[in-house]
Amino acid sequence: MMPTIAFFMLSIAAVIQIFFLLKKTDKPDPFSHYFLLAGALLLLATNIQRSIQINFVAVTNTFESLVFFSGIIALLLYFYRIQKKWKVLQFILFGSTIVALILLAIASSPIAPKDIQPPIPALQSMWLVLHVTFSFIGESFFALSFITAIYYLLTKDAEKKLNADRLTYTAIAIGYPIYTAGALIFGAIWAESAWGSYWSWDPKETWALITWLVYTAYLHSRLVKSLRGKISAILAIVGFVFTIFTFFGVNFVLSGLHSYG
Amino acid sequence: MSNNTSKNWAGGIFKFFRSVKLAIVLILIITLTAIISTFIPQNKDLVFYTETYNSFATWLILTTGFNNFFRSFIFIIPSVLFFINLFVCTFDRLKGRLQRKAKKRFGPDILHIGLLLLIIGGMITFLGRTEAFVRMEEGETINLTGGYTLTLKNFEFLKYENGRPKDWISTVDLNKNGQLIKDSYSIEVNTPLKAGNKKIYQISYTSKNILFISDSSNTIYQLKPGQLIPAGDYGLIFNDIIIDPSDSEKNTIIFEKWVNNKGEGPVSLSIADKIDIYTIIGTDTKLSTGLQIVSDPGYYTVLIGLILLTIGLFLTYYQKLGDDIL
Repeated sequence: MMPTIAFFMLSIAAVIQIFFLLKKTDKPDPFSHYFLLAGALLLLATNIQRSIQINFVAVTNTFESLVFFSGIIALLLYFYRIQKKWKVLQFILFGSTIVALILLAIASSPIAPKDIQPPIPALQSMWLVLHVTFSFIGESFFALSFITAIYYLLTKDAEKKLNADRLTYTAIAIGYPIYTAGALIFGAIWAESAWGSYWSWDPKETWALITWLVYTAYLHSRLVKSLRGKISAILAIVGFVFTIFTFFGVNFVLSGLHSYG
Repeated sequence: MSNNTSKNWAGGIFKFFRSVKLAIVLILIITLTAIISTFIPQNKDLVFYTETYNSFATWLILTTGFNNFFRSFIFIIPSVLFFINLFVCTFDRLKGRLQRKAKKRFGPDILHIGLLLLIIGGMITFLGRTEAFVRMEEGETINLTGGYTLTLKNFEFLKYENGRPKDWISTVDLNKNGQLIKDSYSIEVNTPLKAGNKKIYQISYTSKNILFISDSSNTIYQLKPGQLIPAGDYGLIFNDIIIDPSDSEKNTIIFEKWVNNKGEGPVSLSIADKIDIYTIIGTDTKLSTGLQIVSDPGYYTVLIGLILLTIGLFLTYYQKLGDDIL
């Protein structure tokens, strides 16, 4: 029930955002962030409610992960909006809300079973909880950078381009250490405690590393003047496409240790 | 003259490996080849590749080593070059920072040293890691190297109400040279036991059905699946037990009937049924645990690498927080 209401809230936010986006004003709309906040709180409350039911932090299956992921994106958008520093904000709000809505739509589809199941033994670890939550918080920043990078490539206005470029960089600069800690470091420590090996070159691990390498290339591309701008933006877009493939593609196209989430 | 030439050579090589552009190119090469590798099933038999791909693709996969990507030259060569590049960049950057009176920002240096240690630790693991699998029944003792012995006192398989596995717990005693050093330690998934330079992990379990029969003199026999009960001109081979979850007395025992060395199909019997002079008196299920014993000489190097990587990442972020760029 709560995710459905949250979906409704985010949909209202998207409608308000597109309306103001079409007005072509640089000012962000005055309402949609309240709907984003309400949606985010409902989604995170869903995780809390399920956690109480299973007596463990409920991020152990695809549905719970998607609810958490879109909840964090909506929450980030709220914080970005209340700072209202940037001229390109309205586009970012709309684009990222659409990303959150798509994730929720996938959560409501049959590919993400909604059964409330207590965790199997391998998942009963706080390292797993840190691994999943940090990964998705980092990926939520990547989602924002994906939208700002698209905006960078679309807009011709030099000031807005600069704005979008800086936003892409800051989102990745914040998301990268969080993602690295979650996906790679905590994931490796969890794998070692569960299976006796930090790294198994499982397809999902390999894709998490590939995603990390793309964002590493992005951050280093900022140090080389000739690679800044278009190439950096393309790397940010590719990075998020790979993030999504690591989450869904590997589960449905490739198989491995992570087949449960 | 020759001194100058070799200096130029060394300078050229140093400059080549100090390049950030080289780092980006190597990262992209490793990324692209790793992507391809995830779509090619790894470590399969030769027959698998010849049956799945056409002859040219099979030749290409086997020649380049994409069938065992992470041990192939196509992965190892760019990784070694990346390691040298990272090493040179790290120490060049560090030297520059220490010499110049620039801001003392060591976040990226710590991060890069962490990464170097991760790669070194990974190599040590790759070359020296060993693992062995043991299956143990309750009461069994095994000898480990270094004077250690491990005794399984108890094995439990806990389930949630809906039947999903909740926990596997192997309760063990660990002795070293006859001295008890771990008393009733519970090895669970995510809670391995450390024994010297080895760690013991809960990995799997198996269950085995046991059948109890008695003869006319009330002698009790214990049978495992595959054992024969002679019954005059025929025999019954114990195969399986169909468990009735409400009452174990209602379990069904499945046999294969044999007459003159010829199988005659399955026979279902219950507890208290008679087979010639024998009577079925009960059933049981015996669980055995599956433990993995791992020795990883790269463990601490990787761990220190991970710690430095974490510190370096967050220090870099924290130090940039004050800049207007972030």
